[in-house]
Amino acid sequence: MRPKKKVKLKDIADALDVSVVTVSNALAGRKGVSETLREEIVNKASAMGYAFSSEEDGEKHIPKKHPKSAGFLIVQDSTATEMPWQNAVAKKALQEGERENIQLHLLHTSKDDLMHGVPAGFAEFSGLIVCGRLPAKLLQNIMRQLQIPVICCGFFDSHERLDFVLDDGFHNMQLVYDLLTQLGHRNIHLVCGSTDVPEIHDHFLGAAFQAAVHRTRDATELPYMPDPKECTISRFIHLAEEEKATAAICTDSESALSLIATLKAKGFSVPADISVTGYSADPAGTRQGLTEIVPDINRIAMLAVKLLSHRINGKAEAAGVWPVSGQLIRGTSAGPVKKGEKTECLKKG
Amino acid sequence: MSEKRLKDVALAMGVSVVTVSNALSGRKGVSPATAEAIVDKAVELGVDLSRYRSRKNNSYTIGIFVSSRYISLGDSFYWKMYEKTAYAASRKHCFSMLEISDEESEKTPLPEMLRQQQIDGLIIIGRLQEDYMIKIIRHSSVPIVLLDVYSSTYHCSAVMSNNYYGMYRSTAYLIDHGHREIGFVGTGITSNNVIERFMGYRKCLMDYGLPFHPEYVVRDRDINERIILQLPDKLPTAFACSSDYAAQFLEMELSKRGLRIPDDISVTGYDNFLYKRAESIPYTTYNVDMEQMGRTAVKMLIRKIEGRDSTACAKYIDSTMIERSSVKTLLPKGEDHLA
Repeated sequence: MRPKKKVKLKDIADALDVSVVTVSNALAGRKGVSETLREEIVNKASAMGYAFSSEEDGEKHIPKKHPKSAGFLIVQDSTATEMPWQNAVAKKALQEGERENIQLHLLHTSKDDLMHGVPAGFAEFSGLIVCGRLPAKLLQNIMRQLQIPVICCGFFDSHERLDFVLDDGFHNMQLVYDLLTQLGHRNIHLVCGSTDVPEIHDHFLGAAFQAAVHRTRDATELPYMPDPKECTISRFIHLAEEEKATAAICTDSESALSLIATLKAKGFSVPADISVTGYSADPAGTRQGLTEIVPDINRIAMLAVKLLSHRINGKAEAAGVWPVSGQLIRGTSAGPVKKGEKTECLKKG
Repeated sequence: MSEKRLKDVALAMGVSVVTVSNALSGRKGVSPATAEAIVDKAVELGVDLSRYRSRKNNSYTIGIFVSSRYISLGDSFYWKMYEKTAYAASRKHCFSMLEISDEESEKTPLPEMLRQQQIDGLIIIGRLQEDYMIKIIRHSSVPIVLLDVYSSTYHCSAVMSNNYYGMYRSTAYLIDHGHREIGFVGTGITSNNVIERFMGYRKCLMDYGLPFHPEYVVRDRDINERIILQLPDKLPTAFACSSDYAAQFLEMELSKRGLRIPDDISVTGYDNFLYKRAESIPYTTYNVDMEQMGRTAVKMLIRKIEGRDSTACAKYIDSTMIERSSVKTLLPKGEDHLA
């Protein structure tokens, strides 16, 4: 990319007739160089086109390898105006990129724009992180045109042999299930939101899996395969009124909030009567006192950049799905099961 | 003197001294198979391996514990998993010790090698009786990593096959080949792994917007692991099986009805571990990367032994579909899903 030969410390030293150590000290901001000389050296260095390593952190002047340039593509959803999780991943990824010596360029694009082809600027990149679901065709287009390592963030597509770093929505349901069972709940129901997207499927099936696993411990016989049953808000209210439910695991935080509102309207108190948990895609959480799961954005970003670095430097091949554990935010919507509640299923072992 | 010894190994194996040295110290440039053979030969000739092992890395003794239930077969899945793990340990300059539990020993307080304090860390492959597993984890004086078995109640790190996404891949493969009516073969009571795989199959149907038919779910064994596969009257066009083993019994049942794979019905497997039967069809299957799983488990255990990792988490190792000849394409490849 850059045919010009790289300027070395020695070149600067020769040009000013000082020692290499002096140049090094001057550029790194260490002691032992007069201010006037330092200024002179810095001016000369920039005049000659010396590649300064980031001046602020200044500890190591030893010229790093020229940073690799890579793209961080945020796929804009036409319906959503804000992209909280993508932006949070991007912010952390940019920091991580510096540590891995990859200069990430942040790009916002919509699916529609990508339909017309890959933007010309992409040709400069030695790698790409795609953050947000891209249809298989667009992904294939990018791969075919660019022929560079691609790391996908926040979604999975079985058609491509790529790395997919994503929130482990399936196993994360363990966090709320363990919490509720520790709080003594046994009549836990799964309340589904109306959105029908792969992430919600993970939460739904993950909760069903936990239900199956937890029941195994109490029961000697189990149907040979669990059959997850979803429950609407009105159905759950009905169960609560019949004292057949003490807790609701919601597949998303929006339905958790509307369930809480409906419960309160019906005279239930949360969490004294009924515990409710949610699942937020927004790393900052919904912040309404909800006990909810959130993705571990920092780990997702760090892993994506690390994998990209390995791929660019030829240290690894694409290895498939990398599920990243989430975190539980302990709000106030889940509490101990109400005393005197029917706990006939509870067998302490 | 040691030079001579290396040369002896080199002569015996017909390789160069450098290769022997690289193999013994676990450096790159030697194929795993050759390295393994060289290490074996060196042990046989009585070469002192410790000086090669302790040069860079610390050497530990790693115990590997497996239930006899899963390893009794000569060519069993867990035996292969054990081999891969032991090999990964040797590549990390560690010694490994195998202990096989049986029903009698599961009544004893702890595995022999833990009681004798012979090991620095322990890898448990596969399930044990629930109580015994919890007892070992609670009372072990050394770190433990589980392999191919996990539960949040154990509070113990584990390395797992990517059951959920792996089965998704296996099911998606069938959908991509034009199948819309897809059944599942597997029994949940015997293993959480199979329930996870079932959920991966369900996810795939849900993500592609296909209906789920409970009658197409076929169990392959009962609670005592006896094979009891019964086909439904009406069959789907394809089955995604929870293991290659299950696929074989499915094939047998299908042949009783005069149905052949893949002409009459398509099948995908899971694990890429074929029980050697000459008459069986080569299944298209999701690979369980035992090598990577063994390597990851050993790496994780060493980190724990050295006090660099005290978390209890599960790591899921993904792999790919291995295309063979058990799937028939029903339609030209359909439109992109989720477009």
